[in-house]
Amino acid sequence: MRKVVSILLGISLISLIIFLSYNINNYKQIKESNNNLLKEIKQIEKDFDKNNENKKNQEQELEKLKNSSKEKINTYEMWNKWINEIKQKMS
Amino acid sequence: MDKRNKTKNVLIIILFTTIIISLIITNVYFIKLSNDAIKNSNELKNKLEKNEEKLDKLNNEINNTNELITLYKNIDTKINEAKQEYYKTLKEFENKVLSGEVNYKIAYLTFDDGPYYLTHSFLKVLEENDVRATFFTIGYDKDYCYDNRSMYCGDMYKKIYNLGHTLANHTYTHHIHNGIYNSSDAFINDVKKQEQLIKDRTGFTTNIVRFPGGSAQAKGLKNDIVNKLKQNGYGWVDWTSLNGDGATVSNTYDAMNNFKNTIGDKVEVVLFHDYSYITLSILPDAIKYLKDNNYVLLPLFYESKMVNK
Repeated sequence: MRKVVSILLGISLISLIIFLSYNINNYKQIKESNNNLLKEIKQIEKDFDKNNENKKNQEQELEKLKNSSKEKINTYEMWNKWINEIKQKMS
Repeated sequence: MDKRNKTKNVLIIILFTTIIISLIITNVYFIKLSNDAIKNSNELKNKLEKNEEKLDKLNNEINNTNELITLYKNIDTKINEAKQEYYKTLKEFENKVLSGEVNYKIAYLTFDDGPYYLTHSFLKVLEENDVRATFFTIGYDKDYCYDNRSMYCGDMYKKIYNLGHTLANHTYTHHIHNGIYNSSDAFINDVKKQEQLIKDRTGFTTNIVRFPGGSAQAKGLKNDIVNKLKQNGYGWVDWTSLNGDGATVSNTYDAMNNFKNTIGDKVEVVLFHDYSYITLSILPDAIKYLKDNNYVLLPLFYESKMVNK
């Protein structure tokens, strides 16, 4: 009886140690994977901030160009309109 | 001895049990930690996905803005390309009109001797009627613009050019007597002077010229002048229709009749003067008359058959 109890306790102990080892390892892997995800997120956030800054600069540049080229854009559209009018008369 | 053994056994069992319970608790703890980490991981993945989408969207916006910036930066080139395309299309259209492939006619309205202080009003009428025309300009101002010229003519070249009309050369002085027709060189020098004036005012170099008084006015010098114009890359044009505003016509009725009597061919080059009040008065009716008679009103261009080369 004592032997059986000892064997059972031994098996339980070993199983629990193996299980614990598995759980610790599993946890470590998940944690590492999470850290990598966090790094990626941070990198993307950094890229986003950088690109957002670029975009703001671009928009400012575009706005300036728009204001300075408003007439030219109208002229460009005007010529294209006249081209289409003549093309329509030929079709 | 038995009692001692029993106590030892009990202690061992207690120790083992304690270890097992501790292991179970630690296992449960790590399972919980892992579950929390997995939950956290899912949240992080979602966040990553959203951030990636956000970044992609931003990058697309940046690309679109970049394309617009490129378009705006190259707008001058784009406008020039559109102009070239327009004149190419006009050439095609003129060919089709002349060959009878399309049931339209063409009228090239031309205005000589400006810019004048009335040119503003002419431009307004043309704009209201969505018509582009050709302005044969002169630079010398004492004989033709009086006091008003300095007030109104300064920016006129640019205005004519920006509205899509053709700016053309009618010599700088327009001095028919004792001037441009003294020699072919005198004529060409006068043309060159006006070319420079147009270029200074607009940045545009014209290549169409009209002889003051018409090419017949050059008499014996005509061939020599035509050759020199060719050498300088110029085409020249007279007219096929007129209302007499440059001569004796004194009222709108006669001017309109003169005009109507000279209209009829498939392609007409109409001579008007943008210093004439009479022409300004009949211009809306003249445009309507042409449109009613199936004419398409266009600006002259170098490749046109009506421009002699």
